[in-house]
Amino acid sequence: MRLYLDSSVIRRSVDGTSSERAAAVAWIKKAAESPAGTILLSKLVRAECLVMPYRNRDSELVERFESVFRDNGIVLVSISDEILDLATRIFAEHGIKMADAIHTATAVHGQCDALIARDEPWTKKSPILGLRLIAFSDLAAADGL
Amino acid sequence: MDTFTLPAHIEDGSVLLDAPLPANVQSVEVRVTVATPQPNRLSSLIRLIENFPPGTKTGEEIDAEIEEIRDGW
Repeated sequence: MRLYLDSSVIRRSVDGTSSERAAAVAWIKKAAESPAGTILLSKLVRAECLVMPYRNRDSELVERFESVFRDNGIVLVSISDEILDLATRIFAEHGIKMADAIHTATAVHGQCDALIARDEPWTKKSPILGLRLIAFSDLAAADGL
Repeated sequence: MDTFTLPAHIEDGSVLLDAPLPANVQSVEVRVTVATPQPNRLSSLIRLIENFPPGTKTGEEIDAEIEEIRDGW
């Protein structure tokens, strides 16, 4: 399974409470069930995750996030012109925030099976260009992928 | 007593020899080689995350911070 995890999921996995982390790791384990399972992230996820640790001058937390983004299991994707064009179309047609549109476009471009994000309103727009948007709280939905 | 290794393969769940049996065989043992399953690349990521010290942010706090960042565009 090839999953795109929104910043809200990666944030929960690193600096969330134990229960939030367990819920985030459950999604990574879902992807890991298939030998070729992959987690795909935009570099925008990295940026969004690092804002608060930089603001709080928390270098330990910065390093914790960076170690996740360096991991071999993660495919970290730059925002190319093609992705930005796709994001513009999604932004115009689906009424979501530009950041959400960039995440969605990256997942569509990367041929992900689904994008996992915090709950509504973003995930209510599912599907976008054939991509399923699944609420973070709906782990059971992964069984239908 | 001499021991020989004979090549063989599996077909429809049965072992088929790829070379003739020598004469006067006293007994046969089958040794199989099993491929080691490749661990998914994500298992190292899961181990990494599970070894982090516990965080302090609730889901609501995290969502509010991300919202603030996205609204700042």
